[in-house]
Amino acid sequence: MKRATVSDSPSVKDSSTRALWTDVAIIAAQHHQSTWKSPAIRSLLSEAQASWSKLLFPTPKIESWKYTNTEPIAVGSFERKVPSTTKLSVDDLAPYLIPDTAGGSGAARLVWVDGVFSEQLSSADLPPGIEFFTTPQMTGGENEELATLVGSTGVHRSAEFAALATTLMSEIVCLRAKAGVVIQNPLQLLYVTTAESTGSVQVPRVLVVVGENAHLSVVESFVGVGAERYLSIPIVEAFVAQCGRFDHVKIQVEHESACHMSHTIVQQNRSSSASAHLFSFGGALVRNNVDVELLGSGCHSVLNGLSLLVGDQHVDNATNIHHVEPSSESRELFKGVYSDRSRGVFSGTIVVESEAQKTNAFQSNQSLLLSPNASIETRPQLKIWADDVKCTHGATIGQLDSEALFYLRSRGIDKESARHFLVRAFVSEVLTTVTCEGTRHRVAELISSKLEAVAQGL
Amino acid sequence: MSLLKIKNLHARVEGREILKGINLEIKPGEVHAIMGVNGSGKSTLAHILGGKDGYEVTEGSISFKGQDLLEMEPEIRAREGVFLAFQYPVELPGVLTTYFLRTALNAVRQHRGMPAMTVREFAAFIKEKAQLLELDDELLKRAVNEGFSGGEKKRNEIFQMAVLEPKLAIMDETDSGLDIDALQTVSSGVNKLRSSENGMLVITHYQRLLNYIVPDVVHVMIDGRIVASGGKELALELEEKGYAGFRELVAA
Repeated sequence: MKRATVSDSPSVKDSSTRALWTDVAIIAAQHHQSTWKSPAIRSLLSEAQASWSKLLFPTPKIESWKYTNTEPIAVGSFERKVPSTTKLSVDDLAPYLIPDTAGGSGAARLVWVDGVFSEQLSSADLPPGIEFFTTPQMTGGENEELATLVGSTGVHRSAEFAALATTLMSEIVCLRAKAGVVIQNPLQLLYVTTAESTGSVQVPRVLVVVGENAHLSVVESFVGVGAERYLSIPIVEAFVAQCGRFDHVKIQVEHESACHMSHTIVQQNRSSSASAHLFSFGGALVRNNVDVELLGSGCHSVLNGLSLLVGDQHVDNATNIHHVEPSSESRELFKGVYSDRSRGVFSGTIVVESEAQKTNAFQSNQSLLLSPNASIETRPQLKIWADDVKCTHGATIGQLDSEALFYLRSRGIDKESARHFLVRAFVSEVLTTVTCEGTRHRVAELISSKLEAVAQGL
Repeated sequence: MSLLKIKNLHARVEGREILKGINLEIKPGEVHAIMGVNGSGKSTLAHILGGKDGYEVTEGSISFKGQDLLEMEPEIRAREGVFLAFQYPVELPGVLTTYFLRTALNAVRQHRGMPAMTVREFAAFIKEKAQLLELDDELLKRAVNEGFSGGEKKRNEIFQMAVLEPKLAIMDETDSGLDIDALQTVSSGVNKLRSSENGMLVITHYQRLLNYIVPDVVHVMIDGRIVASGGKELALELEEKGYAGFRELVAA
């Protein structure tokens, strides 16, 4: 497939454009059917195609999409392009790379340009014990076992954008940490979108497998470089085996007019640990769907997020933590700073099944509104079927504390710096739980530059 | 020349008149105490001197070193040398004490034409000041006032005062919530900061504090007015007679 036009006429409205989206997805899926050799993937595509035909774009009438209107995507025109060979060089990537705490030449990385995996820009060698597969190795045969994991979370059956992305999927990247392998430094997955991709849709798909007693740390970075309006629907499915540990950080700095609809699904087995941090700085219309499934007992999960928004940015974090077995613990903290006319949405669902006794689940959502025109919708939803659990949730929405501002100013600190101090103090809590120093440093830099943009709006 | 001169100060909070004509003059080297019951307007006066929002000055003036204090933003007052030790110091989770204080000190130093302190210079400087207040070094590594006990918070206020080296320190009920040991430590810290160039205004309910920080002048404040002023013996008289004895002066 070289190019399938979704719509070349932005003036076409609503139903007809939706129909075009449906058509192109079907065409894409049929096309892909012939390229994928793996029976598992072929059947996944059929399922996704059927699911997409049924679900289509979510409307605000659907409860889970009440506060995020995807109309700009539905009536927009996005193409599924396969870009020409990239002109980017490794040097161009330098500003986006996570420093290597070991003092080496940067963290090992996998790079996507305009939604397509680039072997040329990726690290030649991954740390020992990390296996890496791309599409050709997943077209049936010995890796069919891995192929069956793709889509096994069922995300394409229930989620609209996951169904669309799976239908359009032409490539899969798989990472596997073998049992017992412990990798201290994070592996960076860098998704760069260039000017080539303006007006396109991209669907990078990643499968992560963390073996028994293995520890894998992944940092996903999304950056828009020169591209303007585009739609990205990245999907990560991660499977953490018994006593394994998976740390995930997502740093989203898409272009300010980009749409970003992501899915991150983490499935944990017995006594495993997982952490996910979502930093949302960029994009115009963003939705992060995060599902953490604690399928075994004795699991530990941390799910944190931070949104720093300016202008008309909209970021919706829809999280779902599912306690299935007893004695697991989850901690969730989402914070947001909203200035100008920006909007935040937080829907945090925690489900504790009747079997999942002795569950500890804590959720907190804290928002700082810096402008009278900024808004946040916060919806904690706890569904608890077990009777011996500790579950708490809390949501606070506020402005900068005038007492605290006065306290700082009374010590000689000017008003702007005092505001800066307080906003920085508010966001710092989310940063402190990122264990990798290099990553933390990179995120702190991004926070600083974003806070300058926030300060200008004050 | 006087350090602070308050003339016929009238002020309102939410439309209600709290200060009804305050006159007060502090010269360099002097320590003044204002005593009064709750609601007499003591803290209002402290807040107005510090530049807090929410107070409307309807009449009168305040000059500090000959300049109009009321025209200055709170941060400018601090840089010019006014320090307000809070009755209820604010907790600032996530704001590290050392970073906060170095930013404040360098803003103040820059205003006073002094070079900024490097991290190393600052570390040595605050270590010395912390010893003065017998402040645990560990507290300096934490966020400002976060999880501090009442006594630690008050001690931290005086510590900040020692670091910023003000010309005029206003202590708003610094003794409230302190046990006798903490009171002695805080007082001895304050006394070490007294000099012939600096002025202090100590606001308190109780005479007790004034046994440790001995004032040059004591004022009794009732219902927004200073009804009596005198030497340190006035505090003892007040202790003996109670405020009731002075209320008659208001009526008169």
